Amino acid sequence: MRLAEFQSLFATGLRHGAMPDELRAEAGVFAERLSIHANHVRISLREALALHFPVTLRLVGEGAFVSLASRFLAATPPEDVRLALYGARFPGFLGAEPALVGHPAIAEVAGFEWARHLASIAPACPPVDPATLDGAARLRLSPGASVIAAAHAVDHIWEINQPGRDGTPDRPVAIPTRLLLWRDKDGFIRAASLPPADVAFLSRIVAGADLDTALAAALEAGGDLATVLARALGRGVLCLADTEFEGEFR
Amino acid sequence: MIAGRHTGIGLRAPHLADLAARAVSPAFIEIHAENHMIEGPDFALLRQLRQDLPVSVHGVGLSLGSAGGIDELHLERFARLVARIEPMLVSEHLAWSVAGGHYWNDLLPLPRSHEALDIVAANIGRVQDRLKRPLLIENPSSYAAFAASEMGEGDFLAALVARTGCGLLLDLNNVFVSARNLGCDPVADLAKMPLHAVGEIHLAGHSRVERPDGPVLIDDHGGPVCDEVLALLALARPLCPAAPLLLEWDSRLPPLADLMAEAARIDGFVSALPVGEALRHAAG
Repeated sequence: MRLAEFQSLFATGLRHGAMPDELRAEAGVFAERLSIHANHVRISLREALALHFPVTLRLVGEGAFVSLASRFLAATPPEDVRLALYGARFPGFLGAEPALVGHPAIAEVAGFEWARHLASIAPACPPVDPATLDGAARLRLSPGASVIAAAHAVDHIWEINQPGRDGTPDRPVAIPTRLLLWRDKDGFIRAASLPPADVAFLSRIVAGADLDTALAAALEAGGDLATVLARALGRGVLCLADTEFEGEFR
Repeated sequence: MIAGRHTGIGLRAPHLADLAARAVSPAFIEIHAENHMIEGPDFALLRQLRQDLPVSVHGVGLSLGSAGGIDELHLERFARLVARIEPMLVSEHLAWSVAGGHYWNDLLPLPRSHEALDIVAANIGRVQDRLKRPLLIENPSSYAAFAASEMGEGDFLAALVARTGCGLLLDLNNVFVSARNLGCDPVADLAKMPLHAVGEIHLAGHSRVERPDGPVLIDDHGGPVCDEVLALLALARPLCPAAPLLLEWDSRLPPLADLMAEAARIDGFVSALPVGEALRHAAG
């Protein structure tokens, strides 16, 4: 058997949990032992997901999480060797999961957890110096910072499902939520509710618009330009688009 | 390395902050390359550590055995890490983990065929050309053997050393685990390795699992180094006395102090070894 065929058969077995007969024949008396590798792959990738989505795990329960993770692995094996980046598509997978159709908040919470995870591992990027800004400046959010739009108060759901909390909300959670999530200069992950003008401004920045265009969007959304800009600058989430930062990310 | 200390430790994420605070000083640390390719807050701590400690870089995802060749994007990330860390050693496994554009998080076995030898040699050559330095290649732990294999592990590794100029990362726990799992003699298997090329020695624990198809030793790096593996170290050490020793511990990870105590125990074992007890004699 050629090596390419051997590896293709092996990968098929890892993906679906049952080793193909042709590969089992290659292993002869050791055929059953191939399951050691399949188990290791399945368990280690599930553990990576559990590490990245602890609140999601708590919300669905361990048994359901194991099942969801197995099906996610079969549908979406890792394409990047850096396991820290495995799970980007898990929130979308959960959103399309028939068993969760009555629980749309779960996929949104998973998205919030993924954003938190990315914010925690992202490279640092120096924030833009306000003194150098002009209207033509092209900016970007700092690596790991993100604008989150959800139909539920994902930050509150996350908070009440931290260790020591019993998951009981103290306010309605089925409310549209717009958040900025970022890592501050001291290394803490922050989430702040965004007024419509800030959403308009930051969304244009993310889309690659220049500063004047982004501020015009904020104005159109009824914001005070100085306040919107000062808030973003004060949080340190704006970088010049062409600023080099250390290391590839995403 | 620090005088009197031979045994470094594998750096694991839960120990990073303590190491960065210099709570202990191992002989050196070894990092898994793929865990440090995003240059966020942990990478800053690692660079801080690097100022005081020797570091070796141990790849787990270059997939040197892939029939599809080396992922050039991943090789670029690997090369960047090596350039940034300037490690004393760079190593990878005789294994594969990438096929069809997907990464399978394991060190998967290869049939040791002549075709596989050509492929692995070409892949090692590509990596060494990019890094402009030799790799150490680690012998894997095995749970199965394959009909397509045409040579033993020692012969396969010796051929890689001869063809590519790479060195051998001799994992003695893997020698023991593989031999026991495949019904072989670990001392005889060790004797067939290209020991002249050893650039580093790995030591670790393993566990025994009872399965319906019989007991299997699992290379889980989840405990202290067993006496049988230390006996292999006693046989191999005279033939590669300068090779750094590295203690790996992954599952059931103990506190850093316990890891250091196990490294110190290995140091004590090595220091007490009689001079000149050669593997060749023991292997007959």
